[in-house]
Amino acid sequence: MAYTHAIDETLIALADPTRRAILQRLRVGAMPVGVLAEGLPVSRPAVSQHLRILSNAGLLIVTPQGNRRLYGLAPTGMNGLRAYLDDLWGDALEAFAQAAHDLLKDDTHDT
Amino acid sequence: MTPDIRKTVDVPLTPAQTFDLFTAKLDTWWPSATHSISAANDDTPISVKIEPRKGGKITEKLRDGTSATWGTVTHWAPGNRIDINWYVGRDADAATQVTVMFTPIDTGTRVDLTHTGFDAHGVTAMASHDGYNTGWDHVLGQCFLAKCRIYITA
Repeated sequence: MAYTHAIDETLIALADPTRRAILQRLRVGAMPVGVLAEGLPVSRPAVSQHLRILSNAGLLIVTPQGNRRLYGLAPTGMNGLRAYLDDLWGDALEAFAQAAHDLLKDDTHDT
Repeated sequence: MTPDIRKTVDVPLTPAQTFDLFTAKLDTWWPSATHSISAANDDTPISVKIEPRKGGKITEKLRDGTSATWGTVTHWAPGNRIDINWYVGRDADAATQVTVMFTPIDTGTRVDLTHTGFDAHGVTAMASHDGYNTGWDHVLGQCFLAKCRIYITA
């Protein structure tokens, strides 16, 4: 499936409570790693490591500002997961419509 | 922002029949061979059922004796509408939101499905209020990382 790799990255990135806390913190806006680390119960190198994973999963946008970098939420970060679910509901409703037509046929035979 | 998913299908049944097929007879049409937790192990579920009430769970029974919760019914209006908090795994409070509306039309019933809440906001919202012991940890941490690929999630 075309989306599988992207979804793997997204789900692995989201599977960690610290990384979810980072995403939560970034809701207010982009910030440098130092500011981000202040509110988290892990070391700054650990935060950097988590930022790398989130960034590789496409969940973050990194913007250089002077000699530091700002980390912000990527507005399209959930697109892979969304596309996957879009396919899911397409498949499911197609199967549902088929079942509805089958049911109608059964009813017609019964009466 | 990540756009919502919207799907529509018309079926030649009354809204009451359509609702019944969608919920009580979920097992008869859901493509569980490809879209289920069991499917990750090239297996099929024993069953997939919706408890027919507000607060009811959608549960997949696997052949290894375990079960997995897909979501919780948050609005139950037979023949008219069902809302589901959609997630995979136990103990999750909320994840993304699915609404299915059943509307009478000349040829039968129109089924409108909307799936919302894909932004990082929605996905991380539960991490903020329920500590770390959420369904996401169970599913993504244990299930997914143990090579159990997620087919229905968010």
